[in-house]
Amino acid sequence: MRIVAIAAVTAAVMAGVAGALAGCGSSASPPDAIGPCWPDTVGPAKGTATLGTGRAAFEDMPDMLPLEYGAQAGFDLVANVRMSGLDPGDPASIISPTNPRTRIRAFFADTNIPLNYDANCPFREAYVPSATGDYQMAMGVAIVFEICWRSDRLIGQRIRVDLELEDDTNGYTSDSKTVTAAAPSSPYPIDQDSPGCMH
Amino acid sequence: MRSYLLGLSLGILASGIIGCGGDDDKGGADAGSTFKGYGANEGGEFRAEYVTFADGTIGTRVVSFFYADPGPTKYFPFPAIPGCTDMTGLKNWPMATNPVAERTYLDPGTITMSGGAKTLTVPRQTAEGVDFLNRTHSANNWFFYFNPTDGADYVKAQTLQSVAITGSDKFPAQTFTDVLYTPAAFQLNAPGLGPVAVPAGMDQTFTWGTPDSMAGSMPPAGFTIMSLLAFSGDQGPAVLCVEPNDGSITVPAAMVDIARAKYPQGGTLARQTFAHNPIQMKDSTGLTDRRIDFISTWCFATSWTAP
Repeated sequence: MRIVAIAAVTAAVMAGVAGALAGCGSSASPPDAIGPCWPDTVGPAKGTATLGTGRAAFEDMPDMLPLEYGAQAGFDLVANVRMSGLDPGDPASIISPTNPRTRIRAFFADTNIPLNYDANCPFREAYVPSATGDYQMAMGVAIVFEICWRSDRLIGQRIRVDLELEDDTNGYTSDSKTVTAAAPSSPYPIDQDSPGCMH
Repeated sequence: MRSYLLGLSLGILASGIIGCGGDDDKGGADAGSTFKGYGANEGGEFRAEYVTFADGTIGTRVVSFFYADPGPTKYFPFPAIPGCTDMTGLKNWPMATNPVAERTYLDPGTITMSGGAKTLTVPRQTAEGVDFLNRTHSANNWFFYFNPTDGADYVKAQTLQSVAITGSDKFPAQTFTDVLYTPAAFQLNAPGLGPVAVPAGMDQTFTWGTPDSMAGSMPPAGFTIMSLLAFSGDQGPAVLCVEPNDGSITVPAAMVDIARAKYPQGGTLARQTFAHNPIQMKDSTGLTDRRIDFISTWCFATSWTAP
């Protein structure tokens, strides 16, 4: 049975989105106008990247990470990335072929089940200079879960978040963090005995 | 007199948009001049939405703010009408803004919306925040309400509704009578309420019913019902498509790919009809050259995925 805990959801959460992943290393998605979703073979190691959180600016990833409940009627977590040593791309254009590919996917840490079965493709936005002299995402991004993952299946669970980053020279780096999913700070539907996602 | 009589039709708006890209100051109503309607500089917004979510629940979402000065750029061009616009560059209204530090807000006092089953007092937000169109507002200068299950309480389809402010020293109390008109309840045809898979490199067509075009259900004079489709996410719409409401929008493949680049994990699919009513702003000095955008929307918010 589902109980809707109501009231205002924060604006940032409101805008929330949908979310991420499939099997590691898969690149089954078709190409789009700005190139393939994800290359079949990643390039040589280059640069460094750190996976964190934070909307307005990069923050270190905490052990307990509050989820968000978004307008898609599902949950997401906020990720942010700080990187150096790779081409940051062109912040003026999301379709610039020089923009790096930032793929972030989330999995239940204990079972390796993806929290967004379909999501294989990367974010294509450029990076911007950070206060620490390297680069970061212009804003944190929502790593959105399929809407069949409800609160009873998420809150308190350990979630592994994998980052892969490849620039326009095929330089590649990665990072991974495991967090415990905490309840959103704003109201969200409280579900019980939900079946979860089945694929 | 109904304030919406000051508005222009969106058809006029569309032609105006095409001709004024990059013009960052539209000037306006000096003494004796004519209010430019959609072409006037920005003065703020009151936006009310009746939202049906994928699980069938219905909510109300309202945001409002008012400017004494919107900042160095006084006017941001509208999205293409008809057509689809890449919103990721934040070049177009309603997402484009000057930096928050460069904007000066007006204090409207208390804001209420009436005409629905209940009167809504829109809560003032006491912390800096980002609204659902990814616009940052400073503390105490924006108003926001969201309740995912009370849609029937405050926003009513095919009904004129009013907005009132109690005012402040620089923004006098005033009532905007019958300033909002919410379109008729419509049904999605295809795809329906479930998650919509949006593959790369393919046009996507969406269809719905058009009850506003039925005899006896037409909007009141001065209001034009438009349709909108947005591939949105936590940073607001990536692609926005707006057309006269004929029950169908086809999103070109190039725009699909932009949405996927912005939101590779999918996001919120907004399908809505709306009426947009620009009203000449009056502050403590009298009528200004700025417009307040009053917008009322009937919306479905569901999810899309990017396989």
